[in-house]
Amino acid sequence: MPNVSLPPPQERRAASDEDRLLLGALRDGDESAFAQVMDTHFSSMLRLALSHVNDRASAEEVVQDTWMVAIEGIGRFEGRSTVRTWLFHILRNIARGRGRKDDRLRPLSALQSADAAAAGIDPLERLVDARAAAAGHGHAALWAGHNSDPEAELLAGELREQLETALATLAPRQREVIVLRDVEGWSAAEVCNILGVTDTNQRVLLHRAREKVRHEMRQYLSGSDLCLDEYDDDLP
Amino acid sequence: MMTCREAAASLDDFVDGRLPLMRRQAFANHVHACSTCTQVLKEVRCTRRLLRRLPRERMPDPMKNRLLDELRRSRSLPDSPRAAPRIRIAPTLGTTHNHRK
Repeated sequence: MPNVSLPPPQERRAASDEDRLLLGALRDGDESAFAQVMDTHFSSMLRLALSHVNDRASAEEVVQDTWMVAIEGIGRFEGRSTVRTWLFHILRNIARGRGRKDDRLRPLSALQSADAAAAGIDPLERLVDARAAAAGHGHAALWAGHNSDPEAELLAGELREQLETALATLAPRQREVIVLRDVEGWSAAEVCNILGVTDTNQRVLLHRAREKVRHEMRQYLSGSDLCLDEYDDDLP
Repeated sequence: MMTCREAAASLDDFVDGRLPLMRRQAFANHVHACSTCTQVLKEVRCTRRLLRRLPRERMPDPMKNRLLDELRRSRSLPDSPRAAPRIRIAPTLGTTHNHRK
């Protein structure tokens, strides 16, 4: 089982009454409570894991290992942070360890074939391509085959794939921040807590991530039938 | 009047609702007068909204079943912290209480 650590005391946040009820249910081994939390956080956990590992299969293993640690450790969890914060600290530790191991097993230079080198292709681009290929059938495959949120169907598959591609090009920390802030809607404070960064650092990471994704989407949208104005009805 | 550079520096805080009132008003005034910053703001908001609409999924059943099996197994182990009574010192009385019913 992966070796993980709890968040340091200064990063802990008091749990709400609702969270205490949830924690009580989890400590009592309430299977429906576990199943509900597993479903609620699955997408977030998978996305955060993908900031560090190369493919969906590895990310799913990270999520599963996280829950194994949580099941084993829930009796010792003191509730000095929210259950979500506790879970994501575990996940991030496991994902980072797994990512470092993957990188050791597959050096970046190995990704650059003779043809790519001759063509002047950036090794980083090759890594991104390799991650997409390892995911199975491109980034859309990340979301295929499972029960999806009906509202998410608003996103066309092609556009969704472009968004996933844009996220995959980000540096791990930038990706973590934009996933938690803009995809999952977490507060800045909770993201700082999970990632162990200052608010200033979090803002810089988020700004850079947003700029990169915006530029990727801008190029895509300008050449498609989709119009940015479709989504701007709440502008000042 | 706020400059484009200043507006760019305030953009994320504006989108996140973290800009103080006076600065928010200055930002809005600038955006109304600057087509370039209006376009950037539209793109940022559009991208953010699209990200929020990325689909979510439930945990695949095989994984969930494996984990629930692990939960049952961990609870059945005699030396498991889950299976053992949780006993602690009551802070006010100094006596022990078994919190398991």
